[in-house]
Amino acid sequence: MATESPPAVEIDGLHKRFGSVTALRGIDLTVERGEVFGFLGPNGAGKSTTIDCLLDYLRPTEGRIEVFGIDAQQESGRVRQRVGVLPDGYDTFPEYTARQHVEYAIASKDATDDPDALLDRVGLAGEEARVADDFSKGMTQRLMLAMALVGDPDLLVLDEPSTGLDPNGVRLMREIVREEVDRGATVFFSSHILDQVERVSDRVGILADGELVAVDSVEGLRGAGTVADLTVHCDPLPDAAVAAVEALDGIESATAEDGRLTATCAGPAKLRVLDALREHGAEIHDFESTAGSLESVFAAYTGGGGDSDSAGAAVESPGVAE
Amino acid sequence: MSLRTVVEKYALDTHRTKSAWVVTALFVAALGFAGYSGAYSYEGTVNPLVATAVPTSAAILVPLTTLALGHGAVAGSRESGSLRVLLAFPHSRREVAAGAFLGRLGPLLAAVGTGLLAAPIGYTARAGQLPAAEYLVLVGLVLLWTVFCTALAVGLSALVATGRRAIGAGLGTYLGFLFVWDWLVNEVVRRTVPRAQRYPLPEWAQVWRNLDPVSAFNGATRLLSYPPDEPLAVYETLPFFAAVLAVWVVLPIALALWRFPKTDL
Repeated sequence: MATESPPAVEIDGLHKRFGSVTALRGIDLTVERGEVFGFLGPNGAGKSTTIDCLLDYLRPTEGRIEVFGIDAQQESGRVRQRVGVLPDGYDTFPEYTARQHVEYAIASKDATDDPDALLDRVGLAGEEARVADDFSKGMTQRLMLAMALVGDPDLLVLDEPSTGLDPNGVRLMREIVREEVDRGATVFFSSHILDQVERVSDRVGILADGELVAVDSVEGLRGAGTVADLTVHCDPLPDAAVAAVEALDGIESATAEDGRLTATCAGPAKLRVLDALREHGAEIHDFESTAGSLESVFAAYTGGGGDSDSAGAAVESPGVAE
Repeated sequence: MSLRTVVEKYALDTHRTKSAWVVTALFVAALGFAGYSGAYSYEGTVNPLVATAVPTSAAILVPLTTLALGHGAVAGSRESGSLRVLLAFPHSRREVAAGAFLGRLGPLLAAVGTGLLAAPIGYTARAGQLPAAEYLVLVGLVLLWTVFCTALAVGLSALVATGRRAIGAGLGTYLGFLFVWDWLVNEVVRRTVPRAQRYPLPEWAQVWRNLDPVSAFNGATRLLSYPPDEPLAVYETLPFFAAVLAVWVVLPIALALWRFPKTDL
């Protein structure tokens, strides 16, 4: 592998239509080698469709995908030799034990891994001989992760990996992602949960309605222009103060209940909320601010937010819509 | 190597579901009984084994069992999502379609083959003599018939999205060969040939009637059961029927190998 070798993933003008439904409207994306790229978006945004095109489960209507410079449609087998996959919407092999699943993966990749060691690594030690049909969703996810790790893949593609995992499982998944990156692997994973993306990703792409609306580092997305939830505890909390907050620029929503005002607002508006409350007779006892929920980050990037451009995020222009 | 992994997986899967054992038992019972019960004719003379109910049993049971075991080979795993796991690894779609066919074919041939062994055993037990060597020709035909029926079931399974549709398409195709094919020939003859010249059927129509796999199998086994005492046209001979069946083996598999790689899963 030369240093000027092609990126891990290169997606170029990817469109996908299912009959009259357009699922992807021109995705352009580059995932560099060795990075953890989080693919963020609500259900139905097109995350799985993109990943399915990468794995050749689906054929793109237009555009092309290359993985390590290999065409993902023409030479899908070569791509999958170098990729470890945790797919979405899968089912285990009927009547296969956990170990037999991993053995299938090892045989398929001509790898030399020890199945039990892999199962131990994902926390399934002691379950090797159990038939996977009886596994819980979380255990099945762990099993799929073990299969994905077979053969030390150069790229891990994880579609909603935390589905069904308990907090320990989520932590384990995160640790394994870090270990794999330390080994030199690239990780491309999708999620609809911002928190998980934030904790492991170097960069994040936000997908909404079949378009990639932003690609940036987590810090960039959380920057000044993005959105946060602000809760302010006041006594008293006059209606006039609530109304004044609602009227502010950059406020997505504001609700008042039991002396607690909750506002979803663009970053810089947070201080203006506090100012407006005080000006209109509210006395602030306490306040807390959480980073934006996915929905609010989305709102900032897909219309509602207003000054999101100041985030310094590389907001990409929408692709050519059909 | 890759194809071998897929073939082995499908062959193992077939046994693992235990249905292969049920099917084997079914063939042993049905063909064994056919050999036993058909050993004597009504007049009390010994029948040749090829003239018993063995060919008819195979004509009916093989399509049903291959469809039962084959329809889900690709479509069923596509429906459940296990195909996504299968294909998460470096196998091509073609290898999966071909592997599904070969992996299902092995256990099915074994099941039918065991039944074809049971028939002469039942026959010999009753008739007190071994079957004539021409029984081996019948064995070859039934195995070829099994290959065709498996190709049809698994091929269709790779061409449709659900196992249920694969069953529907399989039954539809089989009934189509059984009824629609000849009806179509008759319709064309009725519309193009003057009434006075319709019997016997023009030669091209007779050839056409023998070109579907069901007629080919039944025509071939009939030649064994009732040896003709007059010279046959080329399209009425055993090699012709066998060749027709062989071509029909290729067709559904070729279609699956061509279409399945282009399909959205």
